Amino acid sequence: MKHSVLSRRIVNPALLLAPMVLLLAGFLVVPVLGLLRSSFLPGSHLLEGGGFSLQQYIRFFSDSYYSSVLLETFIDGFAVSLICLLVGFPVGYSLARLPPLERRWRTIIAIMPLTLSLVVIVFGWLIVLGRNGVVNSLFISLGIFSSPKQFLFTRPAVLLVLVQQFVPFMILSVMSVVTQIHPVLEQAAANLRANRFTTFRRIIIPLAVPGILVGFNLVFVLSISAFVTPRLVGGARIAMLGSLIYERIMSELNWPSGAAMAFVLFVSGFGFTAAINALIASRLIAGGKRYAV
Amino acid sequence: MRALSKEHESAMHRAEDYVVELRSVSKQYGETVAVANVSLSARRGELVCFLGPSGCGKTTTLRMVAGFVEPTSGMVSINNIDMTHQPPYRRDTGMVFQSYALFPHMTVAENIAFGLENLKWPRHKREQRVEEMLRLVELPHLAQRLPGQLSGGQQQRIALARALAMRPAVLLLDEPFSNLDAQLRIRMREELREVIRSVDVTTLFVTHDQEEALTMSDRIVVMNAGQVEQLGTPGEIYEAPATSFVAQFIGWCSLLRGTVGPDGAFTSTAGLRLVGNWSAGPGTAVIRPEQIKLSTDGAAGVYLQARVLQSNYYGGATRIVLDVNGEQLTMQERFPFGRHPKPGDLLGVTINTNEIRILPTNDS
Ligand SMILES: Nc1ncnc2c1ncn2[C@@H]1O[C@H](COP(=O)(O)OP(=O)(O)OP(=O)(O)O)[C@@H](O)[C@H]1O
Ligand SMILES: [Mg+2]
Repeated sequence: MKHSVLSRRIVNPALLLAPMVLLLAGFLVVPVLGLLRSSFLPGSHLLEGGGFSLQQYIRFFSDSYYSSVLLETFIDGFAVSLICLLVGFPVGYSLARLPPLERRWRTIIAIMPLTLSLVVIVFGWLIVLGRNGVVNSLFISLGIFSSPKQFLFTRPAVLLVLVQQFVPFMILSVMSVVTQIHPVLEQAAANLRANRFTTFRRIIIPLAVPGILVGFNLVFVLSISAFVTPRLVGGARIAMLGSLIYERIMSELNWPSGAAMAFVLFVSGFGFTAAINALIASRLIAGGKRYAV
Repeated sequence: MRALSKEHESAMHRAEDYVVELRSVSKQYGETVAVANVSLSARRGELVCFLGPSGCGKTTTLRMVAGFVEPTSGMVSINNIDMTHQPPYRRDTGMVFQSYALFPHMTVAENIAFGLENLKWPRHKREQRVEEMLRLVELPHLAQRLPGQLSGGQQQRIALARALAMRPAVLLLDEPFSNLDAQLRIRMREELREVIRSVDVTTLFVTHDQEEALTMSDRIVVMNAGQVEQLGTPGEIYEAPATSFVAQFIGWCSLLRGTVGPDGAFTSTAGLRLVGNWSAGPGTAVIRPEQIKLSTDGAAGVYLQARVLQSNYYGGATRIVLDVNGEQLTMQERFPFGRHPKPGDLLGVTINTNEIRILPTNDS
């Protein structure tokens, strides 16, 4: 009985996809196309009539301020991804090697930060890093600092908070890929005279590349498009493109300019991750040989 | 002076003789005793098999030799060096895993070369050795394949080639044939025996297949519940089982409880009498199917009247369970076509008592 019910197709698969497609088309594709259109408007306001010009893009690329912010954004995004990888890999790996029951609640702890509102996280950090914050009072009472140090509104603080926010993504992607690497392969390597480091380098890393790339891309894309954290933790002095776009659109209401910047970020971010994927994939996977992931 | 040098020589000989030594090795997991007091010395080139039912500690014992499991007590030495607390990568062993554990991202050649790279062999020697090993397992054309593109039997042979490439002192195999079908299993068994002979490597082998153990090993360690029941050659294990567990585990047999009288004859509890020359006291008689024959004129032994209880046809022979004087005995015989006995039939049988063992009753 059950068999016949299962073997008969109840609904056309295309119908099952329809809600998602409609949602994405209506609330993502259409607005993004609208944004793309407005980035080609000549004026500094949406309502300043139609027309088509490259003026916004020309302004962006002719002003070295913007390109330096773009570069800085990318460097920051790359740094955050790299730190997340270094911090997240050992955690994800060790979680994957735990028995399922023990893994479960530790995983919940690891991804807990994702369930917190970003505003709560950022204000938490403001309390920790502020002039009269926890860190400063602690170090002063220990006699390590004589006067409070400036942590907030510095680039390291921005990176720190971004890492804290996004490291769960890295942990999860590493964990999911490492659970697919059977521990017997590590034993085989050890039996073949490979010490832990060699096993890690020659067996674990190459087999974990798909998960590493997913984590890296996620964190990178999230970091370069972050705007709340750079604004609140970095303040006005630390510019990242995300907060610049936010300001341009929300404070100055200059949609055409903001839209153009958003598209520059989108295209260059996409190109950058694609390039990194190609590079890392070919480097790490079997020394650039034939293994298809 | 001469005597001293002779003694020295014999000591050196002994040192060479035992490649693997386990001394009262035990392993406990919390309350569970996985392995208890296992001792074994394996000579160079010897193939020793661990045989026993599921969960008796075979794998655990093998893993203690490889170094994946640290013994709770006892000592493991390889080439007379204490290895009990050394990590696996410091031990001179080559292991073939039950699942083969080939590295999926490396080609067959890279898999085989992996151990040699870690041993810092120069490149040309590595390549030469890889070729040699592929020729040994007769798969030289597969060097550039990935493990995912190999059949089960081919993966098994590559795993063996990879383990042997480093010329390990000990080859360890954990049920290497369990993933193969019955026919391939028998072929691989013969092949493996031949390869092991040709490279003359000491081999420890785990199986729960008694036929595999009997045909392949020089010596068999029969294990039960973490303990060694008997250690001996296949012949000793089959013909002179030390315990009723061993007797029942290896081959078919009937066990009769009873006592040996002062005249040396055995009388079972149901009253079946076997005339012989055993030492007096309570005991268990181990009767193999081939020790019971259909009675024909001139057959030696005790003549008995038997009733067929069960009859199973195996093609070449028929295995029948008989009721003899209230005892159940199993025999195996080839009957003429069309004349297989049926339950209820009466047969005359003789029991050849010369080869029957009586185990003193103090075990189970
Ligand atoms: N890591 C472990 N933790 C707890 N108990 C274990 C562990 N490994 C093995 N055991 C226990 O030790 C005993 C022996 O296990 P082992 O794997 O050596 O058996 P085996 O003889 O290889 O059995 P099989 O033929 O089924 O492979 C079993 O009772 C098993 O449950
Ligand atoms: Mg086992």
